[in-house]
Parts: sequence; C-alpha cells; structure tokens
Amino acid sequence: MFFLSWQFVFKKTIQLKSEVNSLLLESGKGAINETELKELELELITTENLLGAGSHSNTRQVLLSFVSGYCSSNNLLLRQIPGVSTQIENGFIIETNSFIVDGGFLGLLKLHYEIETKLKTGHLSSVEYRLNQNKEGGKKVLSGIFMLQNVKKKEI
Amino acid sequence: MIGLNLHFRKDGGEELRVAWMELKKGKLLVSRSEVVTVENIKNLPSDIPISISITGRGIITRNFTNVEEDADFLGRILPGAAPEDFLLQSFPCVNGSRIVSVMRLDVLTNKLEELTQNNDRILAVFLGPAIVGSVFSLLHIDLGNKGGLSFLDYEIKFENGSIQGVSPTEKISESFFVEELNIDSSYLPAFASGLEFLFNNYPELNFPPKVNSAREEFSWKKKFKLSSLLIYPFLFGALIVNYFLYSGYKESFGRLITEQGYTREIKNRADSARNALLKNKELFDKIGANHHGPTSFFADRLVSDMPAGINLNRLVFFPVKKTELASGQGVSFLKDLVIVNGSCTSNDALNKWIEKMRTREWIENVHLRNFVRETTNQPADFSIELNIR
Repeated sequence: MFFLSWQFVFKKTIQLKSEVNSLLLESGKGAINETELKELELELITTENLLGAGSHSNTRQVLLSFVSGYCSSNNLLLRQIPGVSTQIENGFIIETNSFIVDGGFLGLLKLHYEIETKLKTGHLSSVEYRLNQNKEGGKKVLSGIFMLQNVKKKEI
Repeated sequence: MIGLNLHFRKDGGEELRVAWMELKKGKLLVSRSEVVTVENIKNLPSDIPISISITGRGIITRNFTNVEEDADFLGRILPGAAPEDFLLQSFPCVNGSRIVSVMRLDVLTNKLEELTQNNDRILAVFLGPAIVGSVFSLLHIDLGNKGGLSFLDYEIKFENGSIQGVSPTEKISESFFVEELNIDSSYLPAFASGLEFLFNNYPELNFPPKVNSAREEFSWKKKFKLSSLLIYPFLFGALIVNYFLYSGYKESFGRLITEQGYTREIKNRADSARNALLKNKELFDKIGANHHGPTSFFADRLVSDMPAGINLNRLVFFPVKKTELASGQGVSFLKDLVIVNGSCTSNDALNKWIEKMRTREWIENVHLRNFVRETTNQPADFSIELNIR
C-alpha cells in the first residue's frame, strides 16, 4: 500500500515539483521583456533605414547631376566618373562611386563641403587632393578624387 | 473478551462457566454468562482472548496474616515442594494479610492445552477464589448486612469493600446484579477473571510461561492493530494533501510551459535582432558612416595652418586599402588616416606646421613618414601621416 502510494502518487508529485522548479529557474535565465525587445527592433529598423537611405535607384545620375551642376557654376571641371564597384554584405549591396574633378583648391574644398553636407546619396568615404602634371601642356593641375559609398537592400 | 471459570468439583467433576464482556470507551459491557463445555470453548472464535480462573479441588488456598510480600508461602503450604513444579499466586488483602493459592504446574498446563488446543489465546490465569475480591467494587455488589459472599465452594468475607479472607463453605450460590443483569454468584470468578484482565489490578501475579508469551504476543498484536488504525487515516490525509499539491504544481507547470514558449519566441526574436544590429553596425563601420566630423573642415584647417615655404602635392582622407582592391574583395578604406605629401624649402616651416597640427584637438597623432632632400638648393619631399580622433 505504502509502496504503491509512493510509486504512483507521492513520487509523481515530487517529480512534478522538481520540474516546476527547474522551469522557474530556466525562465529566469536570460529573460528579456517585451519593452527591451521593442527597443532592439526599433534600433534595428533605424539602422536599416539609415543603411537603406541612399538606396536611390539611379545613384550615378543623381551624382552626375549634383556634381556637374556644381562644377559649371564654380569653374570646376568634372573630368571622370569611373565605373561603379559593388559588393554584397549581410544582405545589402554596397556601391562605391567615384568621380574626379579638376580645379582650384577652394572650389574643390567647397565641393567637398557640399558633398558632405548636402548630398544625400551615399556617404563620402574617401577624398584625395592630388597635384598632377597636365599631359598636354605640362602645367600642373589640382584634382579632387571623391569616393562615395551607398547601401541598397538586396532584392530577393 | 471472555472470562472463564474452570471449577473442579469435590466429586471429581468439572464445571465451565463463561462471562462475555467488552470494554467500550471505558464502559464495561456484559453481554451474557452461561455454563459451557470444553467443546464450546474449543469452537470459540480464535481471535477472542480468554482470561481464566481456576477454582475448586486441586487448588490449595490459604489465608496469611501479617506476612511479608516475599515470604516463602510455598514452603509454608507445602513444605519441601519444588517451586518450579507449582504455580503460586498471592493476593493482597486488608491489614497486610494475603490469600495465597497454589496449583501443580503440569496439571494446569495440561488443562489449558485441553481447553484451547495450543492456540495460545489464554492470556491470564488466576488461581483460587481471591480474584473475586479484586473486582468486588467494580461489580457494585450490594452485600447488605451479610459481610460476605458465597459462590461455588467458597465464602469470601469483606471489610470496607476489600477482601478480608476466604474459607470453604457448603452454602449454595447467591444472586447479584451486574449492569442490571441478575447473575448467579457462581459466575463471579468468571466475571472476575475477565475484569482482572481488562483492569490489571494485580500486575505482579505469576503466570505459566506459555501464558506469559501469549500475553506478550497479544500486546504486540494490539499495538500493531492500533498503529494500523492510525496509519490509514494518516495515509488518507496525506493523499488528500498530495492531491491539492499535485493539482497546484500541474497548473503551475502548464502555465510555465506556455510562458516558456512565449519567452523563447521573444528571446529568439531578440537574438536575431541583436545579430542583425551587430552586422548593420559592422556595415556602418565598413562604409565609414561612423566617422568623425566633416573632412572638408579638416582639409580647410590643415591648409590654413600651413606656413609659407610648403607646397602640397597630395592630401588624402581615408585612403583605399589597396590589398582588398587587388584581391577583388570590394572597396574599403583606412579609417582615421590622413596622408599629406608635399615639398618644402624650409625645414623650420615644416616643423612648425607639424607642431601646429599636434595642437589640434581633432588630430590624435602626427607621424613624419618620409623626408628627402636630394640637393641643398632643391626643396625637400616629405610625407606625413595623421590619425584623426
């Protein structure tokens, strides 16, 4: 009678109690509440929006329009827009666009400032001011080489 | 409980009288009394204990006055008799006197075996009529002015409710009342033996060895029965408590399992959000979106601070990592690095410029990487690397 009571009644209660205790312990480990989750997801959405902010479908055209417009009104020469370089990272496409503009230092510096503060298509990742020998006349020319990167969400 | 009296008549015959009694909640219940045969006794239910008194021929009974409790009664009654051959019982009376009864042990043992067929349910044996005195007050017998009571072949005298002495008599038995039952006095020893077993007024009395072991066994059985009676309600109570506990735990278990599923889902979502956030931050870092202030400002400051006598050939903010370009891994940049290449006619001017750079809070450190002057009259070529905070 006692054995049966123990085996089929009391033992089961004790086992259930230990399972409840272990569940209680488990539920306390690494617990995260809904508010924290919402904050995390909001931060994620913000970063994704930031990354995707430059996901203009026609970046090079925008760039050309912006730079050539600025050059014509500031006595600068847009000399070259080389081909775009792309790479894929974490489901995003990183595009690297560059362009070379010739002109005076002040003009190039202003363009540098305009790109950093006003151009919303991409982020200015690198700038180089270089004094080159002009192939035609032997005169030295100052060039500005601007490299911009922008991120687009990869289409699935 | 059965109180039994075995009386050996003077003519050699035997009489068996039985009194049925029970003690319920401290109250004595007498159901009936009757004359029975040995066969009747043998056929009684085996679980009913028997207490027997033996009276009549073969039992020597003597009155002793002013004697010690441990006096040699056997020596006085039967000089030279071996104690191991006899059962002797001594009953205290008024004024320190005693009534002592003696019987041969082998005769007694044989008689008990004959009655019970060795099933060990005789738990007490009382010799002689003195046992009646011990329960006299319990039976509420009104003696009136008689001062004594006759039963079987004995007459017992009482003084102030206690036994005074016993003597043989030829008187016939009388009637008395027990619990409103009119009972013949010849049943007194049967009642007395049963009551004495229940109330145990003479715990010091001797019994035959076999009766002693039967008493011990009965006592254990009684304890076991009592403990069983206690254990079952306890077990029942424990099962009820267990039922409530189990129900409570089961409810908690179900709730926790549901909560755990929900928590796991939240945790998984949080983990994937953290991972995605980490990757996005790496991406931010890679494209330089986490960079410091506007580089156009730094370029302007650097050139403004530049003294006369220095010409710049190249100024690069965050140059491309050439190794990655070459291996086709995409484009990435040397963050925080600024390279300045140029020429100077005056070493002092270059030194001053570098010192000026060091004072700018947005510059972490300045390194002059290269300085070459081919001839004295030609300007020196230099290369400087800056790290921006």
